[in-house]
Amino acid sequence: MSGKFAKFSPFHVDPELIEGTFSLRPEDFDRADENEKAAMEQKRKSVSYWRDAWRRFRSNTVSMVALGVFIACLLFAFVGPALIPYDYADQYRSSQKLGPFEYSAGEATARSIAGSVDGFYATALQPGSLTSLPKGDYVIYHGGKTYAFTLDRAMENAILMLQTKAENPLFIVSESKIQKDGSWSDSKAISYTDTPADGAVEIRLSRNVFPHAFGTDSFGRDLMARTMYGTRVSIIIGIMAALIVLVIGATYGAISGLSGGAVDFVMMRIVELIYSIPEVLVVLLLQVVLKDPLRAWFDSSDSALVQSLSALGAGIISIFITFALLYWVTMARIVRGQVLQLKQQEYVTAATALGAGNGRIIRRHLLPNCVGSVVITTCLQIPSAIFLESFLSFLGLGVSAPMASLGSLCSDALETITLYPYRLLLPSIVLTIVILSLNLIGDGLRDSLDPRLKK
Amino acid sequence: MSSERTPLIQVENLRKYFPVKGTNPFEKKKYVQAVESVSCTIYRGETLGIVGESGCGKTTFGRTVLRLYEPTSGRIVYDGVPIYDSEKKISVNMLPYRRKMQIIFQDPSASLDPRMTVGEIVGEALDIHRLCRGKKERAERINELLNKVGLNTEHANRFPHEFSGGQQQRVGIARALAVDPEFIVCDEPISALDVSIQSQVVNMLEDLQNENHLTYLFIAHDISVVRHISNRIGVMYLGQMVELADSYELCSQPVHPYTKTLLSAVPLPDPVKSRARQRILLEGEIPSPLNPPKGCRFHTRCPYATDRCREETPQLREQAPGHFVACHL
Amino acid sequence: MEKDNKNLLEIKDLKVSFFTPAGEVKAVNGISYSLGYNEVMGIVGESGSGKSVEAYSIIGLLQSPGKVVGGSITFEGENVLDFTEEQMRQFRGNKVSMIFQNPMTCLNPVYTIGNQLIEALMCHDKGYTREAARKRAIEMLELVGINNAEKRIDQYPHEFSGGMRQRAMIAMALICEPKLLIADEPTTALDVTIQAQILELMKDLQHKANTSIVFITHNLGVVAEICDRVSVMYAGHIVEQGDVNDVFYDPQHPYTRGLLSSTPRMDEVTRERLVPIEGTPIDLLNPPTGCNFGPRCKHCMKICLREKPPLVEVGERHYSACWLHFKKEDEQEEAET
Repeated sequence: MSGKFAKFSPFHVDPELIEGTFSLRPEDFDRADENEKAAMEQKRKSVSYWRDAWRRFRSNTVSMVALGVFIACLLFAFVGPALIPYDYADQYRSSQKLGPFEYSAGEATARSIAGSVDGFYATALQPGSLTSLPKGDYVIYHGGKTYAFTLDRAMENAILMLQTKAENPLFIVSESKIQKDGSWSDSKAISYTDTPADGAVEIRLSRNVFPHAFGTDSFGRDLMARTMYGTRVSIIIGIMAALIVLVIGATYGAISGLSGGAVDFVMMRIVELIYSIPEVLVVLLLQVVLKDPLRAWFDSSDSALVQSLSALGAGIISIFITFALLYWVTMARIVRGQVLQLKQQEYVTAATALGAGNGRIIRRHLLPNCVGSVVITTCLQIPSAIFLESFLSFLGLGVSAPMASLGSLCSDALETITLYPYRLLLPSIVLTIVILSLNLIGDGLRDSLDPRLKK
Repeated sequence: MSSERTPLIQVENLRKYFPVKGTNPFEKKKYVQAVESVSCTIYRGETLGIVGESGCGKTTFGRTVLRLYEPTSGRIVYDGVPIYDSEKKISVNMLPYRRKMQIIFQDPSASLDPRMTVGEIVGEALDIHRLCRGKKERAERINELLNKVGLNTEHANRFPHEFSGGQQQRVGIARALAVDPEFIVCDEPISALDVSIQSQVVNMLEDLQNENHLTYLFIAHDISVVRHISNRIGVMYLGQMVELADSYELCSQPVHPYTKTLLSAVPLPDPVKSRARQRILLEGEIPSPLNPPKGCRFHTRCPYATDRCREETPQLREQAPGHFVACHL
Repeated sequence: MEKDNKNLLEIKDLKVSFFTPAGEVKAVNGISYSLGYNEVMGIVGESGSGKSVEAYSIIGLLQSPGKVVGGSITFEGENVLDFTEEQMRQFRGNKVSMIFQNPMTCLNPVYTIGNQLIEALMCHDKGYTREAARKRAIEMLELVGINNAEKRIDQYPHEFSGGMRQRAMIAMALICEPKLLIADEPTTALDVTIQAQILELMKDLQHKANTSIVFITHNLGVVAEICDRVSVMYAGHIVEQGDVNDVFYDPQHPYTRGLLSSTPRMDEVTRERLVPIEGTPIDLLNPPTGCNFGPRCKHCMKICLREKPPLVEVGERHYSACWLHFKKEDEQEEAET
């Protein structure tokens, strides 16, 4: 007792002293009515399991940072390509072997002009080069107008430009005729019409040259675009593999745990057998074995599904098949463990006492209570899938060209590692960040979903 | 107690053994003899209390009567219809009987699914037996049940962990009542609750019994409570029923030596009386139900044990009207 | 019973709080009592009353996030809260020891019982040789009623049954002859017949060894049997305190009265309906202003919801904290009916 009671000894209190301190009035000794009592009842907000878990997750700094980083990676991989003008497979022959933020001669010239020309200047952002275009029909859509023209001769070492305010807006300037200060002489006008020819290739305008943030490779492909694309491929493969593991593993584990007895025994021995098989070898074998039959199948069929599968390539399909065959065992064990434990819970007995059949018990009692562990395991399965795929692609056994994944990017970079170390460094860093952030999120999930830590 | 006593449940020689998970398949199988040849009758409308210490098998007995554990042998008759008979190989489908026989568990936080709301928990009973047509009727019935046990309708959307122990137990009671049963096994329903809440729940159980004409099998280790709420009490020791009588009679005139010991050991919230009383203290510990003593299972600790006690198992005999004892003396 | 003027243990205005992520939980909010030599004080309360917490703070076993935030604990004149680590180690096991509800919490499963007893002895009393300590340990085991002590001293805890483990734990606690024994619900987990045995044992040992006991429990029957004085706790406060006869036969606080009238008794002759205490225990994270018991009390007055009542003397060494004691005479009688 502190505050007002401080001057009283714990045991003997003078009533007059009390009355003085608290200024007691006779009305104070009237009965308190129900409303007054009820007002004292505290109501705590209703918190469901997920909201509680999210609150715990939110308070874990490391996990939240990891979540933020992973979201940034997702944006990088999926939204990024829309933001940069380069595509992963486009080769810009005059921009080969550039370092990060480095510009080729043509690009540098174009940049310096763009700074000084009033109007816009066109760059050839198609596969080909900035300063050369093959012969053919082209069209430019700009400012509501259409400029359709034909090059009857290939354009070499020249830049195509559009100066909207000029009388002859469309013209070509030879690179050599461009001065250092950005002015030029000797331009050749190009005539244009309103209607583009059939099969005219579109040229996009740009005021400036978008920097190659990660540089370019030997074929002139922008590395940032390739890294974004590779990240996308790696993440998608990781998620799909994790989903395969989830479906097969959870079903197997649930059946095994529920059945118990001999069925459980046999199923678990099978799991142990599978566990001892080396996965990488299986992937390699599958790839070798499946390569030709798959190719025959792809060539023979025309359906869209088969076409998209063929785009994946034999390497990736082998990876998926291996996951389906071998990787689900961890999930199965975890789910079985959970089910075994949950079977003993008294609320399952209570449901039986109410007359619930097995189906209802599984659906309403066992599965919802497993969800925590399943989510965690799935989340942690994604980085290992990504890692496996990267590893295999690095060895040349995963994705096949033209697809690129982070692993294959690293592999491509190996041969020029001394000259252009950034080509290996940058995809490796991105890969590390993705895997690390997923692992940290998985850890955070485990902490927040673990019911034992519940207060 | 009503003057006309119609038996609702008759249990004859009920046995429940649990196999011990042996590692050696060549050894003879060992069993935990949890319930050994227990026979008794439960009359409609009464509360039969079962007391005993750990290992006596009272919880197993309660659950075996409901066939939550399958009996090893014996006979159970419900309202004249045998629902289990090991000799005649009768074993009926329990689904319709699940409506008539229900159970309330000891630990409310363990017996309520933490992922379901209170409304869903109570509603599950209605869904399994298809007792309500349409959502509106179901919701109304759930509210009615919650109100019956002293909870608000707004509590239906909350999760068990948001409630105190006493409230959780009320949810368990509401769930058991949802199917409109005739018979409820109360398996230590108040042991896990705070003392100040226990009496609330006891009163509620009594009120519900009167309103809904229920029959209770009340299992507990606190004899004071059992004496208060039960019409008759059965005392179990190591799987056997050693005495069965009207509650007040059993407590004031116990016959079996174990009952006498048990009663003298109960603490009394009265300083003068409890210090004045003579305690009977037993020697030794309770033997293991894996290997119970031959003959009368109590003979190892009984101060009056004779040779006959060591050899022959005494049967439950009516020594006075309504007072059954299993003892040779 | 002889009582020295100087008290063995004095707790003054002790406050213990738990600093959880959800907020401060005032587990013990200002309690005081004194314990004389050779006296048994019972602390009665339900879960959440703080009875175990205050016991743990006497012996210095309070774990984070719990912290003593106010008050003093004086043992034989010394302030326990100021002890250094070394002093605390000398204090524990030697002057004060503790027994728990679950004996397995203090019996190490990988050491024999004898080993643990001997270690406890030799750690505090350097005068013992190993043989002498072993002899003393066997004596202790026999004292607590473990037969065949010579053989059993070399067994492991899992070879003992529940009641025997409890006895072994008592032996371990008493082997250094402490002046104060703190017993935290020692018989709650035991069967009734074993509980009776252990209580008899404790009464016996207490007289023989002149040990004082702080006996924590929620069972009123046990308190009536073994305690000399009783403190009734509710939600972190002591609401009534006094000699055991006073508290049981003349309870002054509505909570004590409620507890007594809501417990069924073996000696009731007619079957009467129990009078329960309404409401549910409070949430210590958001305690009400005013008396913690107010919302559940059938005598609750307006003042009760505003201010916490002080502990006042209502009889000889009998204290109660309730605003009813301040009500005028005639009104008070009305309230008591």
